[in-house]
Amino acid sequence: MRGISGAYAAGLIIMVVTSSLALFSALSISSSQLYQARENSLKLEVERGMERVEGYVDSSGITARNVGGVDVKLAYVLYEENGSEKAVEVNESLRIGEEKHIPLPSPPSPVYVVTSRGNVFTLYNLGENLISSSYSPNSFILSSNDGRNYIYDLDKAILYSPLGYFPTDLEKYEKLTMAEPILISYNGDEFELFDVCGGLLYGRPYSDLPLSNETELVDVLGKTGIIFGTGEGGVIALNSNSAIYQGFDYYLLTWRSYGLSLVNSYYFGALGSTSHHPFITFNGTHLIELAVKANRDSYYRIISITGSELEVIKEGTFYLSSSEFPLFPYYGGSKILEYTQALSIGDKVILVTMDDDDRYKLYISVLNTSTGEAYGIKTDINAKGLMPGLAIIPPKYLAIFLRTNDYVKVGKVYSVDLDSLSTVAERSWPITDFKTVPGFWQPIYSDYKVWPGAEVDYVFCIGGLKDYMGLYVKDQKLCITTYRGVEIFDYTLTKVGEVTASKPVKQAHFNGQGWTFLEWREDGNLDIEEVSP
Amino acid sequence: MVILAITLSATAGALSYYAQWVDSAWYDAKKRYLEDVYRAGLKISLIAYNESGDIWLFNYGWEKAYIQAIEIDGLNSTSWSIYDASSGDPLNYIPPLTLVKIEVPPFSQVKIYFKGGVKLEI
Repeated sequence: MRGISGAYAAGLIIMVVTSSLALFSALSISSSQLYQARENSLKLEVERGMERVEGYVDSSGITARNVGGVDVKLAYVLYEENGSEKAVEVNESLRIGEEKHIPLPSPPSPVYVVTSRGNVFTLYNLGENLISSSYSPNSFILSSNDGRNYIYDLDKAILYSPLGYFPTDLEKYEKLTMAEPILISYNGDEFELFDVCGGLLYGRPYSDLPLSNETELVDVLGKTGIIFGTGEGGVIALNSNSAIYQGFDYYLLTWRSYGLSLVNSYYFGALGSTSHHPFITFNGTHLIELAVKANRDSYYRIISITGSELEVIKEGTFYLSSSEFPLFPYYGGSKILEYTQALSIGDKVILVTMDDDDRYKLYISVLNTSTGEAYGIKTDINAKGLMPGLAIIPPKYLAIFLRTNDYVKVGKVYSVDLDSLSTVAERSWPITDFKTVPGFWQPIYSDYKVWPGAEVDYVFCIGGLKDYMGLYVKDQKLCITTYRGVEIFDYTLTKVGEVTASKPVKQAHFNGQGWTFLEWREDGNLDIEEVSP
Repeated sequence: MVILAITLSATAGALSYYAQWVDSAWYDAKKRYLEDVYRAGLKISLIAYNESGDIWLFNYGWEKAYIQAIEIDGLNSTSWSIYDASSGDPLNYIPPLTLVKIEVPPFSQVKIYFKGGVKLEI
């Protein structure tokens, strides 16, 4: 009997092992195909974020130009005709830099152009004024046959390589203009990050990249957060379908000798609904995911970063009434929050927005994640433009840089007390004595402490517009990089100090211990000067 | 013999239970995998809408987007239709790279549930 039972047992074990192997084998194949599908999804979204179309409407139709970093296919135009909306399939391809006229019988303004990657660009009849430009004319992505990508910055004549590898023959690399400040290159389980506009390489500093820096949280492709300086690596939060909010995919990365490597990925699900407006901010220790909607319940989620783990430690609800936050009318009455940015410090999350209809109004809302309370103000401002630049001056002040009515230049700077939401100081721009140098107007979603050892930083950009500057926050002061070096301001926007370079400055960066100035020499070449505070 | 019969019976039962478990696990895994692949290829862009009942959606993914249900102001609705926004032809799903117009009753809040668990709320 023992022999028979043994045979049965052996047979049973063999069957269990065989079928389990088959199951795991099938699952393995499936996960590989799934991996490919997700990679394709990521690639599509990255390309989608690189699309930029500008143009105008006139009596003969629309003229569209591809000012983005990727070839674009225009799928449809959508406009109103005789009181109803009309959709016209166009299927016009626009290569990078190409411009095309698409005839339409007396189109009204505006016309919505839908691309094959799901983006919508709005073209107006404004006498051939160009709308919505966002590109960096001075940097190129060089893509090699081996799949590596390099950045060549014409301004600085520096070639950036994320993995420390430089090609010997540049002729074989294709030039590609870039639209967005950040390119995420996802190669298997490795990531490469580029900030093309700012001339910074986001990642580990390389000895042959004197201006490269580690950084923390930036807005990428409108809907993505990147944070670095978490100790050994960083986190990418990617809303994989940027058209509708479905929650972020979080990728926890760490540095290896060969570059960034994926440690873990997480999906915590969506907060609220797909039509909530998502934000990612970082308060120096925790990631904070927000799903915001005025006059509806809004949501927040606090995520801790420890070693190789992300963990949701708190979720909560808050409410922004329309008196604290505007409702944005959008084509046909939709309400979306477009001109909003989020920053955080400690347990406070600050949301700032300008009214899409009436950009003379500024809304500031503060959420206390400890209590779930939200409060805010609406204030009239004599400024008009797209999104303001923001920076938190610790411990409790918010600096707001506003545009002038011509949409091009900074017009005013405000300092606001985040406890009382009262204006502490209001100054006309420029508050600097010298012309500012570089940086780009787009707030890094972070508080004052951007990476360990370097209490930097907000870098602002204004897309393709001409006025730009570098802004750092250090020792509770604003540091604005200028032609002469760096000028330092306190929370009352009063100048309290200056660091002067020995030659005219082309770029200035805080390097953790002091300032690195890239300076013009008389022969037109560049010098690097390190100045300690 | 009784012991052998009991052993055979128990073994058959265990094998049957195990087979069901493997089948169920495989089915669940395959379902999850198919849903994940579907979601990865499902890309819906809300182009425009008005609250009198017109919604324009564009499918820029590579999967056909099947609508399972539409909820209007909290109630499940059956009175909705999808049309090709350009030609006006009626559709049963949103083909890839196609702009569609969905007509629904006037609403203040709409939830569109797609196959695979993707939800779009306006």
